[in-house]
Amino acid sequence: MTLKIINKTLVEKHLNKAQNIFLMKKRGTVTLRQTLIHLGMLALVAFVFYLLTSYVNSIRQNADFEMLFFSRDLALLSNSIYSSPGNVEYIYSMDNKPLSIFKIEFKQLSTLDDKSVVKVEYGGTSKSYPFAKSSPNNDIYIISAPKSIKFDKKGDNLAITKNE
Amino acid sequence: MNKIASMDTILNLFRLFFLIIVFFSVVSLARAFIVEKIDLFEIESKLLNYRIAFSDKISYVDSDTGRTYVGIIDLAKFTSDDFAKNLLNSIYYGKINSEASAKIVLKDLDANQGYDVFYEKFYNKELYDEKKVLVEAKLTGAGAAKRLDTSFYVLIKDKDYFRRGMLNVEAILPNR
Repeated sequence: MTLKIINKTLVEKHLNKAQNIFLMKKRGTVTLRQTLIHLGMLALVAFVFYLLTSYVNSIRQNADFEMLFFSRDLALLSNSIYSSPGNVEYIYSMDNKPLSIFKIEFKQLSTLDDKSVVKVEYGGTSKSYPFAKSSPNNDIYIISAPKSIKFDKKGDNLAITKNE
Repeated sequence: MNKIASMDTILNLFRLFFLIIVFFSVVSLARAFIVEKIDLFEIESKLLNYRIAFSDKISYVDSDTGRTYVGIIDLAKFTSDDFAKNLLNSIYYGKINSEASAKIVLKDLDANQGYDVFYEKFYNKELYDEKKVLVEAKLTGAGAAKRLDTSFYVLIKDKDYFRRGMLNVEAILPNR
């Protein structure tokens, strides 16, 4: 009887030990899984951070605003010079903005509707804005990397050239 | 154990969701500081109004000197059949002008006929009629249009007589 009880206690002891080992193993498994998940999350956060910084950097480096500004400013200036009576000579330059990095075209958008636009190009992208001439002629002016631009209006004709 | 695992999965989903929200917040915050549009409507429409009012197609031009008398409206030019065509060619956006339009009203202040005398002309009437509906509907955004009125006190030259007048130019420009 006593032996039976001792045996039973021993069996229970072993069982508990085994259970403990099993549980510990389980705990270990859970911890490893959690660590892996945390590492994965960390990698994801790092990746998202990299994406964000590269996105902000791409915005910082592009010249969209400058292209937008110059296309509108030059279109308005052309409009103003065309609308002024008599002969006008005007030199357009910007000290605080780098005009010389752009290719600027005063051109017809297409031969079909011959709409006149100022097109400012930089790094494969461009922005354009329409302007009104004083007669339906087909003058096209392409100016690359100008320091300043010279507008010379005589009668109804406007000549636009690079001014060095 | 299964409960703990499923709880972890739910928490991780929340983390991922939160990360996505943070990502899009930063992107939209960055985009909010980028200027993608420069609205030139007011200055552009004012320039069009002045360009029409000061145009040699509307003003009196001394044939001897070639000088344009800005503010003196030549009634013969204004009432001629070629007025719209001449004006379109002198403010030339292209064969198909989808950029600007205007209504030009000349009011004779010295008509002395017991009623007001108006002369009404258009610059690019097709676009004006098309966009006027949108302006009156107060629609905004791409495809819609905006209107700006400018009035000028002028002299109307009718043959050898000069009368006081009011020139009203109402520009309608599509949103760009």
